[in-house]
Amino acid sequence: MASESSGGQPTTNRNSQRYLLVRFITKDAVTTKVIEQTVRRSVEDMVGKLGSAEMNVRFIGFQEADGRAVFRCKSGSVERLRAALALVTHVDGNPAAAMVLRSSGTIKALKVRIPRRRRSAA
Amino acid sequence: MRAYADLHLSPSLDDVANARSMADLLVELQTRVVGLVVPPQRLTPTPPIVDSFKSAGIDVAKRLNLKPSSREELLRSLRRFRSKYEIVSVECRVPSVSRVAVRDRRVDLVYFPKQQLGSIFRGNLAKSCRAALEFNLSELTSGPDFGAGLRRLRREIEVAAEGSTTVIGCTRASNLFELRSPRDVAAILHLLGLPLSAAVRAVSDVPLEIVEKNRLRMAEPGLEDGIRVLRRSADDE
Repeated sequence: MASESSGGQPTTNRNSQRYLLVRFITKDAVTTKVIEQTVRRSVEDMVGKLGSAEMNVRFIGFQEADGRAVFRCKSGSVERLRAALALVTHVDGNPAAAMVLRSSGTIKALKVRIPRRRRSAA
Repeated sequence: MRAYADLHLSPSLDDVANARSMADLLVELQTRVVGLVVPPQRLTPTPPIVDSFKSAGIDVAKRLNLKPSSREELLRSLRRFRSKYEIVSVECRVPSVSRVAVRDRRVDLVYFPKQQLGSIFRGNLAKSCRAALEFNLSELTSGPDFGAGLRRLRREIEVAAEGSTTVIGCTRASNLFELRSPRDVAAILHLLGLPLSAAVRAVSDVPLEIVEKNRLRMAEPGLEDGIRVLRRSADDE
């Protein structure tokens, strides 16, 4: 019982995850919601809805001040997420670029303080 | 730590502010060498943006993009400019140019623009290709038909793999918004069918080797691949 994770699965049974630190370069300031939607759309354009579900991409947070965001995905899907991010050319109708600065197995190793997005109570 | 290269940047040669912001970002992305498109008429004096990249710690290799419409024009341009540039690339718009460009040892890179109908990298070209095939990310991100672009690049990479042709990945960025991390370009190449190790080499070792080889050639015009100067006689020095 002690070895069970918060998700209810034993630690040994959990899927391996990777965290990506992504830098967004935009002309105007953008909100967290817009960034999340843009990446979701780009992933779906690239691999479709089924592929997107398999990648299990989770948006962790976004720092508006310096345009850095953290995403999480399945460890086997890092290349697909990198490719989808590289294909982002516009955010909210304005030219933009997204590039992965670092990839890590733990969020701690990224050494950034990104405000975690709260899950809605619904 | 692996060093990366982006051998195709084409910013405005007079816009120093743009170059400086690009250089800062490239440093953050661990890019060590960039290929800067410099037309022959701007070769001397050195454009001011070269200093912007160099002051940020980025090595700049001058690149010439040849767009010949015939075989004769290509050969004439190569004779005239090869010794002045670290990177020479040829845009293969017509089959007669493609056939010569892929075989000529003076050509470092070939690329096949998607707008041209006769511009296709076929198996017969791949077998005799001595130059590296260049993949430009901007080919994929610009233009209306993303699906067709993906299909075309996938086919090119398949053909290159069959003919053991070297592939390199570039961005062809002219401003900050067109820049991408070389490792992300490698991820796209991997998704298009290149093995991951080859894709990472396509943005790191292969372009770095091309620049190094050509610098050696420019410094010692008599030397060929695999020949090194061990010592010189006192008369030479």
